[in-house]
Amino acid sequence: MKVSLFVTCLVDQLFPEVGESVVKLLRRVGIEVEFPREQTCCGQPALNSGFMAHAKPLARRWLDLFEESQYVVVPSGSCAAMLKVSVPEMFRQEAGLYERAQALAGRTYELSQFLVNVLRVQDLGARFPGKVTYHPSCHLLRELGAATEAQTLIRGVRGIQFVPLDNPDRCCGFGGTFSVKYPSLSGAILEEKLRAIEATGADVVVACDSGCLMHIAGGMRRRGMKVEAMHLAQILAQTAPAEGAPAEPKDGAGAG
Amino acid sequence: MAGTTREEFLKTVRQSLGRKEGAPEPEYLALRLRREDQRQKVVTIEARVEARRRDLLTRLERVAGQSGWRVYRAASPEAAAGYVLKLAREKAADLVVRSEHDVFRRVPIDGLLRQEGIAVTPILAARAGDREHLRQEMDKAQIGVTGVDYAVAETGTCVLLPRRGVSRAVSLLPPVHVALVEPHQVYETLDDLFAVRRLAFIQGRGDAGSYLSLTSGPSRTADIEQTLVIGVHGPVEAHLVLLPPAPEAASPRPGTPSP
Amino acid sequence: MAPVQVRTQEFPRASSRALANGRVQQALTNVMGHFDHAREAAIQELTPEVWERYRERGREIKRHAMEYLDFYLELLSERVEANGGKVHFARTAQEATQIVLEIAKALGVKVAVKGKSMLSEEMGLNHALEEQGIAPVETDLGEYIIQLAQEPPFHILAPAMHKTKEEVGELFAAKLGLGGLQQIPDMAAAARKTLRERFLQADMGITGVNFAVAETGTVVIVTNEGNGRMCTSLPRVHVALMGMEKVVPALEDLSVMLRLLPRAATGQRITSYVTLVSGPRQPGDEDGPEEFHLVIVDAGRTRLLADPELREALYCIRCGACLNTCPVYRKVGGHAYGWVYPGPIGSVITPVMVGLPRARDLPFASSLCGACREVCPLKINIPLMLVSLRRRLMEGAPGERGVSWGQRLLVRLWSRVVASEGSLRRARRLAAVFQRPFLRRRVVRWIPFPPFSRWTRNRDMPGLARRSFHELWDRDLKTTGRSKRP
Repeated sequence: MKVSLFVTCLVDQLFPEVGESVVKLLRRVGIEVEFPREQTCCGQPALNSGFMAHAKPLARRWLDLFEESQYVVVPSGSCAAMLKVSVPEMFRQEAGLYERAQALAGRTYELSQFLVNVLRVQDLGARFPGKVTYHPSCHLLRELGAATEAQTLIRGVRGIQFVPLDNPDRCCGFGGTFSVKYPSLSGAILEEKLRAIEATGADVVVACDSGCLMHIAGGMRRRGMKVEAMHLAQILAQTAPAEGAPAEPKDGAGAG
Repeated sequence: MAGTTREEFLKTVRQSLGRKEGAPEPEYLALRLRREDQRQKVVTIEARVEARRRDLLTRLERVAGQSGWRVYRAASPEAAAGYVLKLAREKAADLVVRSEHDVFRRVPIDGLLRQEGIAVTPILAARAGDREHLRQEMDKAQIGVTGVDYAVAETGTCVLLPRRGVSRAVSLLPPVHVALVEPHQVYETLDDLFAVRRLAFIQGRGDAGSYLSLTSGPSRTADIEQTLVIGVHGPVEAHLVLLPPAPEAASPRPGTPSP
Repeated sequence: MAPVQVRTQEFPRASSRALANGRVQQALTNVMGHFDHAREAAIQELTPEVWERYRERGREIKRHAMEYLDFYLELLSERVEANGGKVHFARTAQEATQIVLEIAKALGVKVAVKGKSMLSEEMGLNHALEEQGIAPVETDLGEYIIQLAQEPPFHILAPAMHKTKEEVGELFAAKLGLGGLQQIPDMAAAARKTLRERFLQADMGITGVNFAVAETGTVVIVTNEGNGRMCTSLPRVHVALMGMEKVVPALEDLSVMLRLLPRAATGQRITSYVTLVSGPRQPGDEDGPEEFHLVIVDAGRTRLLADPELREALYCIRCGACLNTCPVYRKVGGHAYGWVYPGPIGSVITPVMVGLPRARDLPFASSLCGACREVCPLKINIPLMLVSLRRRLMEGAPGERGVSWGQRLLVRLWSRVVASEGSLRRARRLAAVFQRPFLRRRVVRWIPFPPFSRWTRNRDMPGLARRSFHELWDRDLKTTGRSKRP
């Protein structure tokens, strides 16, 4: 089986270790991974800000670059939702393109959904000694309907202690450009999420979206919280207990 | 008169829908059912309700209780009347108003209450001039007693069809409302109720009755700090008295299919 | 009370003010959870599968009713008149107000008792009545409180939810001379007593309409307090105000709608009172109004109807569930939105009703988390409509556009950067230099340039990674043996 990785712009520029983890763990289960080098962004920031004309060329780009792929895997619920739901919708009036987008959307998966629903694995041989909680990001949960996949995978990790989050399905307040259009509002919503995270007593908060993680980590850091924010892929990629620190983030999201 | 004519208004609506002409009558199942279909539908409902009568009464009792009714299952009509008397004593009532439902022929509250010196006023305006007086009586009364026209087990609802002898206000103005429910009046669901009412509408050749009230417990509010308070404008207490079946054939309800 | 004012353009400042207002924050914290829990419990009791079936049916009823709205409005008006009622049509809120005033003047009305009606808020009806010397008395307890306080509703369902009982006590003391009320039940009892007098003296009852059944010419009013039934039974004239989208085809459609509305709104199986009015008192009736007037109002609704991307907004039954679940509403409350309808559905409806440029900040007041769509009993796709409005603001006709040069410039720039891998690489090099002065241990805590400055105001920002994933791939990952790592 061969997977084409759509790594997303945030992971590419800010959190490459997330992409690295994805490659590692897919290869661990015997999957061939390729990375179409011409990829940049799915276009969601433009679409959600009202600039469809700027989003369309990027959607076209995705279509052209990945159309031959057997599977496209995206380590982000939000970007996967863009590609699977919004992009075909954007081309609804354009005969030909719509069908192509639909077909490719059908082969495009968010990482946790790909692992659990396509590969049907729940145990990736990961080991992670630590107390973690999980924030289900909104688009993964509501656009893609992934209610259980990530938690199934987390529970399959050796040595992990999982503590559920209070009101898990409440938004963290990121919302893409919303976070800078209404910073105090976004921050106030985040505040509740941070309180919920703190209440779990977890060392690590896990999510499947680097955008939400960046937001949560940025808030935690500003408030001096000692909790780390990690992408699910980073947890799943660990096979042996690390010396000292529970994670191995060099820079970016893990630095929470 | 201010406003827009119907024709102009509908023209704008049509334009917004991208149509020039008025729409033909749409294919809509609930509208398409004609008198005979609707009658058949109601016959089926009646049969189902009849077969499940015992369960329905139990369900009504349970759900009504959850909705805030104080439910009393009377062993006899006399017991029901006794319940009203007991209530009147508890409230130190000196005036009880009631509707002119048929059920009062079975449940003799007038004599019982009057024996105790409690006035009972049936709300029936013989002359138009009475209306203001009757309204004052209803506003003064501590208890209003009514029959019902239907009850719905799904929602714990009593349904009243105000008409001659059935004022809207008997169940509304006094702080205590007692509804007397007979077993044959109980339906299972809201769908049943509206199917029966629709048949009545068709059979009455378009006369829907001016008013239909569904009451599911006492009046309530949570408008201050989301704290539930029972009793605002309508009754503070709502009692549902479930009677045993009448020995003779049940009296016909409004909306019962005519052959 | 002042006429309804459009303050939608103040949302950015008003929302910040609400965030800084301790009393508003306290009220929101205390109250918001109740609604959510009640709704969720009601759905669980029914089972989510059955709830889903009702949602689908309700949606189908509304879809159909909107598609044939002309037919059903005509049928409704014919049937109401056949029942002895009088039907009026108003294209605008002002027309609707004129109609009500003319009815009131013709009958010499001095006091009008009102049930809760959001449409009457659109019309600014209370103000108009007062100007004509007619006393409008709100009778829903929440509406009564905010009428005394001279404020607009904070929530479409619980208009006074931002008031503490202490504030209500003070208000009753100051405006009604009823001092010393401390407990909520005593306040409700006081309102019962005060308003009972008004009910009995009022000449006119004004209510909204939750549903209107075309087939039988019936309007349905849903309340818990019993005030709706008072307004429709005691005064000698009843005026019902309805937005034209309230119509459903048949009586039996009500069973679905009546299952959806109370559960989504307050978590009840049904409200204490559901009242079906099909015209004035008939000969022989013991009571009821001598006249029944139904005012059917457009006031911008045909614009939604004509718009394939926004028509769904007319399916809204005003249950308030989307407000209760919205992370933004839960933080800023209703007043910040600046018009009658707050929250997610308000951010769709308001811009169409008051004009998009004037309400240009509302469609952006959402993280697009989708919680509103999830709880909507009619499954209205609110996030999709918000994005559609954002698009009009950015790409629409000049009349629709909101001026936002900053955003336009940014998106152009961004487009150039992400247009190809090469341009992204070049931009990255530039950004790496640019970020250097602000980087402390790989994190930016402060940067003066928007939009980044708006992030670092209350959150740290990660710096660019040492190497992009592209670089990592080229250096390490591409060549790593396939399927061979331990």
